[in-house]
Amino acid sequence: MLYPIVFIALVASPLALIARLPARSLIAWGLAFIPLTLFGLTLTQAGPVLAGEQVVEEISWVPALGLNLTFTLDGLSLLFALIITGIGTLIVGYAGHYLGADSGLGRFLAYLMLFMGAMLGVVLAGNVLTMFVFWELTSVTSYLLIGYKHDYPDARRGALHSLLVTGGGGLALLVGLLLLGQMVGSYEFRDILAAGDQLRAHSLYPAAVILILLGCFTKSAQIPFHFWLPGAMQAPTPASAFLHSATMVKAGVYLMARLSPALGGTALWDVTLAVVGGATMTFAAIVAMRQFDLKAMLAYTTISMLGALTMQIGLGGKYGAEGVATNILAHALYKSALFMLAGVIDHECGTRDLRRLGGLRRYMPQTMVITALALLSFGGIPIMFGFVAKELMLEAALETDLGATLSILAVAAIAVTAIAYLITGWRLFSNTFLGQRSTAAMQQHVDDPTPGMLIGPGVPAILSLFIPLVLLAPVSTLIAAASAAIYGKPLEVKLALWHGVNPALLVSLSAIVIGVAMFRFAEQLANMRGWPIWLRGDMIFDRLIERTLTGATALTRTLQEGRLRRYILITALTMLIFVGVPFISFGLGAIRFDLDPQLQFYEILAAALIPIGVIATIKARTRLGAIIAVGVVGAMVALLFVLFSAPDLALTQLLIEVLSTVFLLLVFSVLPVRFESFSSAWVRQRDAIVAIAMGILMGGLVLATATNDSFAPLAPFFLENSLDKGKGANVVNVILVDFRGFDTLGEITVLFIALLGIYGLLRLRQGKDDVTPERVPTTATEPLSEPVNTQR
Amino acid sequence: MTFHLFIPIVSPLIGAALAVLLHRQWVVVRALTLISVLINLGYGLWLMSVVPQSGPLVAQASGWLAPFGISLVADGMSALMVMLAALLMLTTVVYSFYSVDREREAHFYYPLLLLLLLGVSGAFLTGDLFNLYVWFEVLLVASFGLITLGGSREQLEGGLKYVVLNLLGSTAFLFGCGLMYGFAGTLNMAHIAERMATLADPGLQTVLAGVFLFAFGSKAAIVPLFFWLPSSYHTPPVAVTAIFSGLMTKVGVYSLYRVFGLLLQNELAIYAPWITLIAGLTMVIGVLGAVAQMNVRRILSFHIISQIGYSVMGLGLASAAGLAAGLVFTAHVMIVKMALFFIGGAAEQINGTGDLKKMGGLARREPLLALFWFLGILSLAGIPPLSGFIGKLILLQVGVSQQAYLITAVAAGTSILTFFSMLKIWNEVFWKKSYEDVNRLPRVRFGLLAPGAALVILSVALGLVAGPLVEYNTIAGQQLFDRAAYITAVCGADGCEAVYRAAVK
Repeated sequence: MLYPIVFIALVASPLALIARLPARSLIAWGLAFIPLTLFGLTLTQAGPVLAGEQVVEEISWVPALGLNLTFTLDGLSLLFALIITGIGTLIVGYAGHYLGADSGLGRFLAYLMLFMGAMLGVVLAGNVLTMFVFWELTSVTSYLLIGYKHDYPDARRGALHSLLVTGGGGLALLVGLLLLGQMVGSYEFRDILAAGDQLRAHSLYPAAVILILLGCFTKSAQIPFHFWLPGAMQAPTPASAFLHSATMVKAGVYLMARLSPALGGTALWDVTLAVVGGATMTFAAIVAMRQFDLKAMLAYTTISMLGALTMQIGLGGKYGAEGVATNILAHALYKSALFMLAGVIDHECGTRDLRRLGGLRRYMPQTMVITALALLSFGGIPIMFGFVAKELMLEAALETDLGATLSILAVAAIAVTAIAYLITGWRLFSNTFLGQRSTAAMQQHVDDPTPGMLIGPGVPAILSLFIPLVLLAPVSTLIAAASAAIYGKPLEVKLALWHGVNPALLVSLSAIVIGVAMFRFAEQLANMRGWPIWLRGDMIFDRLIERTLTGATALTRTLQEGRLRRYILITALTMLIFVGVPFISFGLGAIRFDLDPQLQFYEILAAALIPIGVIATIKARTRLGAIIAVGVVGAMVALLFVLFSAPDLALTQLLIEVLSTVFLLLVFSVLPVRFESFSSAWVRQRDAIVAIAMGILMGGLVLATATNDSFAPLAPFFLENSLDKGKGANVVNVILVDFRGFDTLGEITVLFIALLGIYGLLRLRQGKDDVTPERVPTTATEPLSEPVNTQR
Repeated sequence: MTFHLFIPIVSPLIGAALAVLLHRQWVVVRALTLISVLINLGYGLWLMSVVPQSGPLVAQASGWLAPFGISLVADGMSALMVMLAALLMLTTVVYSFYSVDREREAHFYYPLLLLLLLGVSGAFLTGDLFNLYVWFEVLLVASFGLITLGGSREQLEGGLKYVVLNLLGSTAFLFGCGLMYGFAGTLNMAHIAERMATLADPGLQTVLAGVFLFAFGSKAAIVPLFFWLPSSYHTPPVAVTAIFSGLMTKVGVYSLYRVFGLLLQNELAIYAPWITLIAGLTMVIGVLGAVAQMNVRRILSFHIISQIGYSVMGLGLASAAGLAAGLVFTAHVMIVKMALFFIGGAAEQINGTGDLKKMGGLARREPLLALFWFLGILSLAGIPPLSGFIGKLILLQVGVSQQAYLITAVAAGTSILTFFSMLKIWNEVFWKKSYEDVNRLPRVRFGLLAPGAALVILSVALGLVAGPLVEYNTIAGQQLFDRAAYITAVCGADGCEAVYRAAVK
């Protein structure tokens, strides 16, 4: 049954496109049956899981790569799957109201469904690579959702930031997971979880942990990667509620929790998580307290809670595991409610700026009650589910094995966070519902939304109250199963509102007292000056992007600077290195200087005239002189062919020489008679050195291979069989037309192609492209024209 | 004897010749082109179905015994490349039907395409070093004809750089052929491989490896030999740029694989660290070049370089598994890169410019085009479950398992920059508001959308059903690295040396 759970949403996502039709809210509630069905399907699998077993299904995908579609349902997966499908149902229905006026709803819901399938894949995957596949899909769908209103630059920026940060982390994660697989010899979670001791002792362990944590921290918005999450608030509110609060951002937490039995228990893992998580929790809570935008406020509190979850995984122990599982559920409930409520307020009032809201208690009483419920849970006020969760967090901090210092620090951080949450909640509530309605900002009629829109936030908000009051027993079973997976061993969990008077309760209560006492200073705190804007993460990231762009442009401009002669120089130098270095290292020994005893003086003369001709060509002042000097070179080469009994080659060479001389003369007739030199003396000297080095290298290589007799050549075969089997006395001819006639076919074709090309070049002068070319180059790389070089 | 190996060479050759003769009837020319390409495609597919089981297939030109005559050899890698070349040419031809003007058609545009296919197919099939050079010449001259056809100033400037720098590479290749004959006394690849295998210590053959690394490296556009590519690739029609991106550099990669995998396998161990270094530099410098651009085709052109780095990385891993990984990646990138050129070209056509600053609004105007572009860039960036992910995953996996951590990290890190530069196009061309009223932009024509869309769908399919792709290339990598089997297939069980001794007293 796990396959349908993952793939139904993925496959059904195009179906959501029908929501572009009118009657959108109705269609959306209809579509909500898809996640509801998945919720039901997940519940049908819950029985054995709650009893401590696992449901496993497997088919192979790319067996050679260890990429199997294994799906496993255990307690932790079950908890997440229920949250994803449960809240997903509400979100889909809610979105129909929220985006009811937007014909893009179909596209939006299609992305949402895709995301849901991907997220289910992440939490149900029993193979790390399979999990990674879905992990990346969640990043991509999140990108599309954040950029939903892509006409706005801010939406594009937020989307880009989120994808670059989570995508970059994803790459680190991939390599980390590959290292895990390398160490364990399998990519299955069950094998990895069984190999904890082996992993912790392995030399690759630190690298793997760091890479995996990079992936998790970016995904779950831990400091210093947290900044993408507030930017992601550009997404329509239903997406923020679902992805950027309840589900996707918890994927990092999920993976850390999942792997902690195998990777945890070392200082590297535990302390890193505790410290980074604690810092994120406290920092984001304080920042959240000072926001004026409802969604920004909620975004920072989400970051804070993600930090809290990370911290608890690091703190470890029985309470850590329980705390993680409980807080995940509690947070998913109250925070999705709050996001949807923020959407309701935004939808009804046209703003979500706390400075422009106020006095809504008279106009939106239902909304106010639901908000109050959700905020009480958020603030950790007794009898709400949030309170139960917070107590466990404090227990985890008090009972940790990481030493007294970290324990005290963690308790203090939780207390500060709790106070900040209370103030945040109070500011949110009082600025929205209490006080006077700001007339200037809100001209329009304001009212509670249609009941359908309140179902979405209402259900989780009410559950935040009902779970501790009536549902504590079944939820305890679920939490027990989930925390057992995090703890690595079965756990006995009994959630309760009242544990008696213990240190956790005292800390909790004093935080509440202090927090409430500070309510009167709340607005002053918010209005205090913060740090300068350029220190903000997103600004730093923008600068990083900017620097990358300038750096890349500068580098490319230096390399691809447009002049052919420089390209040739670099190419020649490269060849000198690629060939010269191995030649000096390995080839020099092969050179032998045994002089031919029958060397004739005219042979020496012909050979000597070649370099002389070359030098004369370079030194020639007039074009005619250069042509003559080049002719000397060609003629001497031909002469050498004659001397070494290759009359065919000599004939060909002479023919080419004559033809090219004629052509050169034709071309030069339209050019000035004398050469002019444009390059400076040192440039010419540099080029000369490179050219000479090249000549020496080539000459040396030819000498080395020609004097080498490691292997007997094929030539005797051709000599023997030319007349016999090839029916020709001229061996060269027989080679050309018979032994290697296939080469000749190719060469003839080359001539034929050249003919076609030249014909086209001469006859077709359009001066235009199929796409209108730009007259002005917009980039740094290639100037349209380059300085003319006429010197030789 | 398996003379059918000549089919992919004969078919475009005859097709081109007839198309030149009948160039006044454009319908006939188009039909001939299609038929030739389809024959190659069908044959390539058939070859791919046979070769993994049968091992390398061999044919001897003019019936002269190997190693004396010229051999044609089709192993797994050759078959894959022959098929891909025909497939990519097919999409190019279709795209050309809808985008290339009659003027170009009348000036032998299609025959030149066929001759390019001829050169490429010949290069993939030949088992003879000098014959490989001949096919390189064929494809170089054909590509030069294509790049300058139209004769605009930009094209001629780009074409000049293209041809001069490519000739330097060709010269080195020819030089290498001569030296190889002087040293090894033979040109048949199997025979060379057999003789080179006997040399345990580094020597002249090591220097020759350097020559070939330079020659094919410049064809493949590795750092620092890539200058010809960004100078010229944006100047001809989109269809030409696209097929170049799919084929030209890949022939260089193929030759590097062949030379270092078969001919000079012993030298690969010596060169592997340097090849890996080059691979890393090529990845990074190529992608930074792409990031710096503000023009669709220039971004894509620089990306070709970066992706070549990944293909070269497969070689640098210096094992059958590494070569297999490189082949998977190369096959993927040939497909996706062309798709992106086609779709980017269609986007340019709609906006009337390739300048990112002036483009926009296409997500609203052409949702389908946007969809395929988005899938394409996801694939290029290696996002699952597309083919790019498989290609990246297998390379990283082999990298990790061979403890090549540095290049693995670079390969992984580069892909975020790849994604960034592609998202730049997405942001500017598709998401950004158009400066004009979107509804006044022309609609994309089916013929401009379909080729890119088909290739993207193929990439999606290769990702979803990656098992066969990986299995095929694993076999191809093993065949490529298995010198003995290759030599046996060409010269018989006793090897080429035995044939040689028997024939030459």
